[in-house]
Amino acid sequence: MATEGDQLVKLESSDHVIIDTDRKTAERSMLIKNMIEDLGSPGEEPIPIMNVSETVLRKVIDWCTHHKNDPPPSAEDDADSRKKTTDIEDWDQKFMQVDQEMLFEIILAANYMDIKALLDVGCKTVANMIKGKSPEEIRKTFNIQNDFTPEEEDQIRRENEWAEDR
Amino acid sequence: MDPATPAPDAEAELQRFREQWRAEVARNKQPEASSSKDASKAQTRQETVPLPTGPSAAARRKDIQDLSEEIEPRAYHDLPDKEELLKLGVEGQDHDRNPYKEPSTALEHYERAVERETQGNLGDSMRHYRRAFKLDDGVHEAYKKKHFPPSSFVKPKPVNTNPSNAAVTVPGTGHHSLHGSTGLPSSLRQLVDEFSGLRIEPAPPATDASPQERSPLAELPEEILTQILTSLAVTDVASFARLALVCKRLAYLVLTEESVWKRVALGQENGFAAMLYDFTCDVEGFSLEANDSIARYLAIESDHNSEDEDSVVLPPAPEERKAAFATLTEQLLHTTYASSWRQMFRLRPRLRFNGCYISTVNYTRAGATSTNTLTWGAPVHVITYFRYLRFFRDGTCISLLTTSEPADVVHHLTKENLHSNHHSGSMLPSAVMKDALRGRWRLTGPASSVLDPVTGEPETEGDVHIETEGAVPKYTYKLILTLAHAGKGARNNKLAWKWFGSWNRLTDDWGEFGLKNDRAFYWSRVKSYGVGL
Repeated sequence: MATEGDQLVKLESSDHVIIDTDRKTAERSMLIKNMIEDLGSPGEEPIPIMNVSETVLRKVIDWCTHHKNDPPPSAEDDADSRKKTTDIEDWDQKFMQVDQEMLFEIILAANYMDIKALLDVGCKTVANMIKGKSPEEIRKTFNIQNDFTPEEEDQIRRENEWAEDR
Repeated sequence: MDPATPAPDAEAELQRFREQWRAEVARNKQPEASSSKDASKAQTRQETVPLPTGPSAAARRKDIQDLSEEIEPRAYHDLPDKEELLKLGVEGQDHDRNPYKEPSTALEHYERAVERETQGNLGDSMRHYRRAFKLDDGVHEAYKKKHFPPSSFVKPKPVNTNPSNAAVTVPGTGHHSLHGSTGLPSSLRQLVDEFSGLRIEPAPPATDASPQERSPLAELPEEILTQILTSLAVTDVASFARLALVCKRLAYLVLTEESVWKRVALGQENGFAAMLYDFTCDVEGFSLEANDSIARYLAIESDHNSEDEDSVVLPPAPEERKAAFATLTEQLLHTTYASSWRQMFRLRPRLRFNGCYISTVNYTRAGATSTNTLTWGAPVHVITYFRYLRFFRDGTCISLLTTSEPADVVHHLTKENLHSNHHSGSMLPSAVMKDALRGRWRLTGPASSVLDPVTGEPETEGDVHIETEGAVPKYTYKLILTLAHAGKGARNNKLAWKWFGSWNRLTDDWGEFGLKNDRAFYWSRVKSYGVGL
């Protein structure tokens, strides 16, 4: 007999595509986990994931499948996560090698579906994209308009000079 | 031609000129008339300006009252690893051991000379200066024009708009200079408040016809943006601070998002969680925790020799200390740092682990004249040596006194290279480490279990105590340095000497070394150390 974790779960994306996965994978998302717990069992009806399109949902499920056996975050996670804040697992790094639009879609999906670890990886990936870049490079990377007047820019620069690690 | 008409004109003009001139003289006199401190400050400023003799001359001044300075420190940030450069197949292959090419023009010679001088290599520097002036006797003017254009002198004196300037002009009070209810000076605060309601705007399309591209960062909800900023700030504060220059919205977040700064200030990475206020190990680097139980046992058995202050008083349990330290931090935040975690991170004394501290000492010594030479004048020896200090998070440190230049040393300043395989004739690059000494460090502060020996009160923050092995086993060296700053904006990037001495372990004597030739340590970032976790 199949264990509870192997139960079939149907997820419906925002563009109405139904994707099958197993319960253990799906429960990496706290949103889905809570929903299933409320229902008692996954049931036959697909669970609607309203804000996430099919391509993104498939990507997120990929991630969940790879991480489905991760130990749940423990209580002293805070101290623990401090230690490894700096690095991203190799697999996750590869997983995040997507175009920028996809990356941000994944982050938004992780936020909506309440998958802390994935959100964390996404944020770190973006942080790494910012790291070591000049303001102009950052503007280019993320398509941001420089809305400072030269005086304002100068003032902010002086206020932050100390942090340049010199 | 009637001489009467132009005369009053000229007279009036002359009068105007006189007045102008008088006003200017009066203006120039003013700074000298104010307190002597200002005068000396002004002098230091002048020294920094055009002539390359400035930095070293200024560094030579030993003003105990004010150990901090406005002059940019001579630091050696991100020196390339020479061995890495020699590896085959490394990107940007530069197999030349000396990545510099010989200068050719007068200006290049002059620049090289200045560089050598700041490195402390006076001999080389002299050679380049000579060459530069031989090629062009006006070279210093050209140098001035290039590196210190007149515009750069106008800029640093905007009236009262610059908070960091304001802090600097009050020497010696670096840690307490920011009063007021917030961490930001009022003018800037106003400006930043104006930014609060703004959004990150995507750049306008390149042409009217091209589609408007979206800016992904702009579409993120604020809590996600904050999380991104936190991960960034934790790994690289400089990058985080630089974000403020991207656009108004990000400036607002960087300058006001206290949750990020709190995480940074309290963090293990760069923050105060990594600061140690009690020695955690002995001079050789063995953990005191392990020794505690033995010490406890021995203390019962025999009368402990009680020179070592902290081996007798057993430190309280780690949890207790953590709680006490958190309370202290909280208290300091409100009393000293204007309730701003950002200010606390900036100003509170802390050591840095992602680089090392380098003290460059050079002095001249008159040599004896050889009686049988035909040259004029007495020879002068120029002596240059370096002191290196690298701190580790576990409470250990490495101290090294050598004549090798930073580029040859910093990458080898690791624990692995301590006392290993250093035959006297070793040609390995890591041989520079053969005289390195193991040691331990702690910061002073109320969090320490040691009381101030003079007042008997809890210590104040700001000093670092270091004990290292001696050059001979029977000695232990003790250094007391104070955390100061060099340069206008930076803090905690300089270690100034307070006391240096040795303890003879056999006879239990303290001896003090003179500080005559000792120069302050300046911090230099070294990329190969990583974050130092």
